Amino acid sequence: MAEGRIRLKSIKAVVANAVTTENVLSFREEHIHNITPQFVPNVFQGVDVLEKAKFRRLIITLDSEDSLFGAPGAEVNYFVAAINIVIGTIVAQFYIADNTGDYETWTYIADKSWVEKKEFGRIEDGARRNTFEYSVIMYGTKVIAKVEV
Amino acid sequence: MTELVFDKVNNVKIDYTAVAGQFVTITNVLAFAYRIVTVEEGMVWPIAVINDYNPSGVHHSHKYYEMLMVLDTDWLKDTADPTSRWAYGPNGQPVNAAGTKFAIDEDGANTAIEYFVVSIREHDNTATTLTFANVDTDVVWCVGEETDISNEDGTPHQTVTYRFICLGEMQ
Repeated sequence: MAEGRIRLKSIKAVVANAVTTENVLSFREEHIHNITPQFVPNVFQGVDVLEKAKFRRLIITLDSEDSLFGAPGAEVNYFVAAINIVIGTIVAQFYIADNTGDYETWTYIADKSWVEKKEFGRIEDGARRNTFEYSVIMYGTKVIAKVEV
Repeated sequence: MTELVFDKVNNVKIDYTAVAGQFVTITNVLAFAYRIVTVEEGMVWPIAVINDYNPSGVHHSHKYYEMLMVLDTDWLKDTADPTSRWAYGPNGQPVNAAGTKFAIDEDGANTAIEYFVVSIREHDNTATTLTFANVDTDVVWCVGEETDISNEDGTPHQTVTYRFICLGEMQ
């Protein structure tokens, strides 16, 4: 067993609710640990950390728009008045930096999710890219697997 | 005084015990950074101390280090297994085969990192080590992870950034 690096080359696609989106410009995952350092009063050195909730924020930027969370006409309703509909599974696929075409899948299995915001999608004549950015926060599990082609 | 100009990160050695030889030696480090954070809220402003006036009852501000480690994607415990990320277990498993918890537990308390030594190279090629922990003292924790993967033209690296705190003194 030898340790070593894993390098990813690019984004293959993002699959949410079984709908595949390939015009993904960037993918960002923030695994946020809400942690507070604990200190002995009047003593410099800390003693422990107080752990609170952990959650993930996924920020997905598309090159132009697509139906990211569901088939066209059946997307997740971002404005539902009751508890948010859970985006069941989001799969990000990344090509591994070799010439085989193999890719990794990062599967986020959401127990709870919330479409936090959708940034301005600006459409401008002559712009290099017209991007739409989605931001989702979620509780759940992340599973990494490798797909060999 | 001697000025140290840091040029490159050779490696970062991390493990959950201070037993020599058991740590991972991460070499694909694009950048390492640290800063001192002062907890201001609820504390007395340090101006009085700066001005050499220390009124009775002043509480010294508590401080800690915050460290960032930026990797060229990520580091594996086993290159034959792409799920063997050094910091967390596959499929959300919180415990590794040896019964030790990982640095990041998805749904529970993170394990303290007991060994955290950064080896850097100065501009004149001399080696310097920054030791944040090397004995079992429960002062270093991983407190976050950020991944950035981009298809934009000209993106030089796809990065994973780990965030740590150290409640002790760097040596």
